[in-house]
Amino acid sequence: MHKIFRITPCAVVVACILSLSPAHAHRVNVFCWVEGKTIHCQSSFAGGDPVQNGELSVRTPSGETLISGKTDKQGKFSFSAPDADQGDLRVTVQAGMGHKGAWPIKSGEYIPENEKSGKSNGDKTQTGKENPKKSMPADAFSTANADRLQAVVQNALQKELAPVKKELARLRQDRITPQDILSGLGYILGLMGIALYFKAKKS
Amino acid sequence: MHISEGVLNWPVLAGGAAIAVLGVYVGLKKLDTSRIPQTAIMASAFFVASLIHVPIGPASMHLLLNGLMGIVLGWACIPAILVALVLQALLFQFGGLTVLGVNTIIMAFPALACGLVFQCFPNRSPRQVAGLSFILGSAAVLGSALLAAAALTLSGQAFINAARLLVLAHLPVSGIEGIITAVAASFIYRIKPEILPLRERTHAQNI
Repeated sequence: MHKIFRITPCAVVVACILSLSPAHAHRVNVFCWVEGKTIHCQSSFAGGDPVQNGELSVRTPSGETLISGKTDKQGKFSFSAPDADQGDLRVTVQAGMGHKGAWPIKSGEYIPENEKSGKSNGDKTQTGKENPKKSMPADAFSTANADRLQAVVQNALQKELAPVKKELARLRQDRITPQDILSGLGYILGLMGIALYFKAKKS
Repeated sequence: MHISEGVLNWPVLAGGAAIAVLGVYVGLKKLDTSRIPQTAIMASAFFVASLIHVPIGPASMHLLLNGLMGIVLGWACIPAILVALVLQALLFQFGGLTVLGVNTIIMAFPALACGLVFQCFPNRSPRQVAGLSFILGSAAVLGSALLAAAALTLSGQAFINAARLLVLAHLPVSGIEGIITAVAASFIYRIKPEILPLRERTHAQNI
């Protein structure tokens, strides 16, 4: 009996270690956000450690690799967004040892909506705009000013929104919740019940 | 140790799945009704152990507990590990459904080997059981690392690189696993030896 008492604390310690930090694991997380013309990617293991020297590649829907590189010490990688609409991009990070994570970037994220529509029916809008410009040359100055103002506002907005976008992207990642753990344990117990039922039926 | 989706090529995935199905079949055939609850408990332990992060070493690793599973369950560790891996893939996004077969082999076969070795040494003193399970517990982790390296090699990565990286990364985990396995197995052996698959032989010898 003495041995039982000696070992029980050990078992309790092990049980405590086992129940520690349920949010950690080694899945590779990667998320990207757009800031102006640059796309920033941040990758980490689910424990929070950055993926250093992870092989990052950006692929188009057709499977063509646009950009590839290695993540830095903080697990970051930045690249300039493609000028033309390349469709929905997919960023993958290979962290070695068979670990891989991916993040989708929608084409609407890196090509602003107004530019997209401007490109597809650009001729029409330009011809439409030229008429009033020609008829009222005095306005040319103010439209140029308005364009510049718009650019300034857009720049400022992008700068202000970058952290928000980053936070949103971070939150959009899958995380492990206590519900996941409990439901897993529940499934195992359910399977045990099913197995016992069938074995009992047989015998 | 979970290989992610999209890393291996399909012949490796298909071969892995076929071998895993065979292993699960044998494991289920050998599963005794009275050992089903125990198998479920061990599957739960394995399922949760993957969330325990070991922050030592070059990469972020987690506990496996596959050595302990092999010692306690024997052949039944294969279906138990498969179930836990399915749930890890679905709920935690570890590994993936197409990689299930390969991941099952990676985790379960070293576990099975440890279990069979453990059964070869019935009737030992608790101290010897602790020593043996320390060795088996850490060997199971390294065995899994080598199998994972082999799977990556078959899909085109250089074996030496993959193996060195995987084994190095798992050295700290394997030490910790050895300690946990030794504590757990010797605890079970002292308190309730009939839980271990070698109970028939020890029981007969004790009488």
